[in-house]
Amino acid sequence: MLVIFIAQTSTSGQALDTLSHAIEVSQKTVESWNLVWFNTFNTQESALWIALVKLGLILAGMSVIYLAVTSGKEIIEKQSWSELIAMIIWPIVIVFFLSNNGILLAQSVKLIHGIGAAQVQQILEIQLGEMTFRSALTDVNLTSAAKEEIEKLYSECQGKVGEALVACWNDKKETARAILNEAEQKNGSPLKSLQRFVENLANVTNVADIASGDFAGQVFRSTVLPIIRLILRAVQWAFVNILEAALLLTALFAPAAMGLSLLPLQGKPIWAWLAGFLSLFGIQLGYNIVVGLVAVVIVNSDAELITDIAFLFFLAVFAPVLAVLIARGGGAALYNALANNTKQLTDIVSNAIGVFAGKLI
Amino acid sequence: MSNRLLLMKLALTIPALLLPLILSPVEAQADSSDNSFTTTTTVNNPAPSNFTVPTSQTQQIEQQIQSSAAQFFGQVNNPIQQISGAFSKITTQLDQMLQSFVGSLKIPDLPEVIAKIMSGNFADNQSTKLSATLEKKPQGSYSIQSDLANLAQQQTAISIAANATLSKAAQDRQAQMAQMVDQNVTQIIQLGEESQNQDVTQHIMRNISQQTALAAQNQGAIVLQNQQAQIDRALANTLSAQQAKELSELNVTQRRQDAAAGTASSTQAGLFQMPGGITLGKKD
Repeated sequence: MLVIFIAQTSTSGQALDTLSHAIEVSQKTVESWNLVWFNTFNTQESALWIALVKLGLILAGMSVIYLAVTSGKEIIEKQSWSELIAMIIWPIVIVFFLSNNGILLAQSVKLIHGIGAAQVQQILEIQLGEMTFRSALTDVNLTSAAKEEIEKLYSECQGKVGEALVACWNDKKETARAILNEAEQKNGSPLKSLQRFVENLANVTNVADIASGDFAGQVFRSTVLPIIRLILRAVQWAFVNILEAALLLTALFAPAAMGLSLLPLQGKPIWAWLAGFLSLFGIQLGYNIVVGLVAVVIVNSDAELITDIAFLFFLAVFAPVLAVLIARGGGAALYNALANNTKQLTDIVSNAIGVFAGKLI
Repeated sequence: MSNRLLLMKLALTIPALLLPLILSPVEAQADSSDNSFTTTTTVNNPAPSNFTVPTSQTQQIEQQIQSSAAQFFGQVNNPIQQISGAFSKITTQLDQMLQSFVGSLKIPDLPEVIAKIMSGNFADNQSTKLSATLEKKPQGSYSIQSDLANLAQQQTAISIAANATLSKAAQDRQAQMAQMVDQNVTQIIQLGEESQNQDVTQHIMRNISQQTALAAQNQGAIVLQNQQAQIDRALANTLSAQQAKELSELNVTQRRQDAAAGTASSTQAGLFQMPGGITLGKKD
């Protein structure tokens, strides 16, 4: 009896420990990303940022020489102040941003990142009926994880028949309840679908209750099912983390984009960079909204257990594709708007300053 | 001096003359010296001197018994050579080892062989090296040694089964033995019938002795069969235990694989993260 008790205690403890440790690791990952952002954009100490700013300055210097050679002669011949000012506005802006190890650029990037990240986080806290996107997502995911633990628990009874099956089945009741309690504790609120599942499993050995054991059959599973779940969850994790990595990488290209913005190209690279950077937030935002909405729908319809694998497919495959496709269109539109309007704005400003300077001199 | 020499020569000729006389009753014994079963018969013979002049029929029977027994026992000794031959196909080293562990019953001492294999004494073996190379385990492994140990057991069982029962030679031997036993039984019956018609006690006694010899030979055959059956049972038990072990290993492996997949999936479930740094669990 004591041995059984110890076995049960250790099984439930171990099962939920795995989940708890993984959650801790996940939280540490988030903290690590924040730390990486902080360290990378530390303008005094970050060797990577300083090197990239130097690269930006070199590119800017080369661009200035190119501009002086190509447009300088024409401007001197025309003696057009407005064109001269139009030519030197960008070098001044760039020097302004890249001076002092690019402190202004780093602050600007961090500001954009902070605003973007805050928006992406806040979207999950939006109240939709009785719940938020975040609470719905936690509900669905914890139900899925706890169901998997319960499946693992009952899989020992899978090959048994007769009295051995009944004995094995009844032996798991308490552990299953312990898993449910711990999952609810982590969620902070009851997990209704999981409660019904556990109760059905507990009652299924009574002949009178067999009719109500509609979920009981779901507890036995093929060995491939955890592997499918593992792959889908890993893909989702990879997608979220690659977005973070993409944001950081894009942010690091800011000095180079700034340096190249001197060149008389169709659109300034810095606007392309900004559009790309904002598009990444667009993807994150779109992903959070679409996933949050579907999670709310699932929780409202009490379908956490039935849509277990389907929701994972949605999280890992369809939602990322959808978010990327929408953000790509939005990003292109954003870029066009930025490039066109800024060019017009710069022309107007430079003309005005040129006229003003001409009159003064 | 010459008289003394003559006397000594005479003295030496006496044993030489006695030797044929001593040796002559041996012909009446229905056995060669290396056959324990028929030797027993001779020992039990109450009056060997009565058989110094056997009848032609008795001589014929005895010769037949001698030849069939020699053939039978000679072939029983062969299997181990054939087993060794089969093993040499696997590796010379394994063969040598099995040869070196052959016991009194001409069967390799399997527990000792397995202990040697598992203690890594066969790491230089050609098949072990090939397995290690193919599985990329240059240092060797417990599984490869275990496989080789299993192979030694399986190969011993197959060789014994083939050479004791299934091979053509074994079948011929079994047939000969059956024939020999059949003949023995017929002869015992004949001798019994003959004794019923005999009035001379000496002849009846002689017949009884021959019947005893034939019965002892049949019992010898039964003992040999039992011995072979015991060996077969031991090997069958070994292989059954091996099967049970493998089956148990398969079950345990499957259960652990399932548990490992479940644990990996649970871990990944805990790593769930949403863009913006949202993780599972209550909001802090």
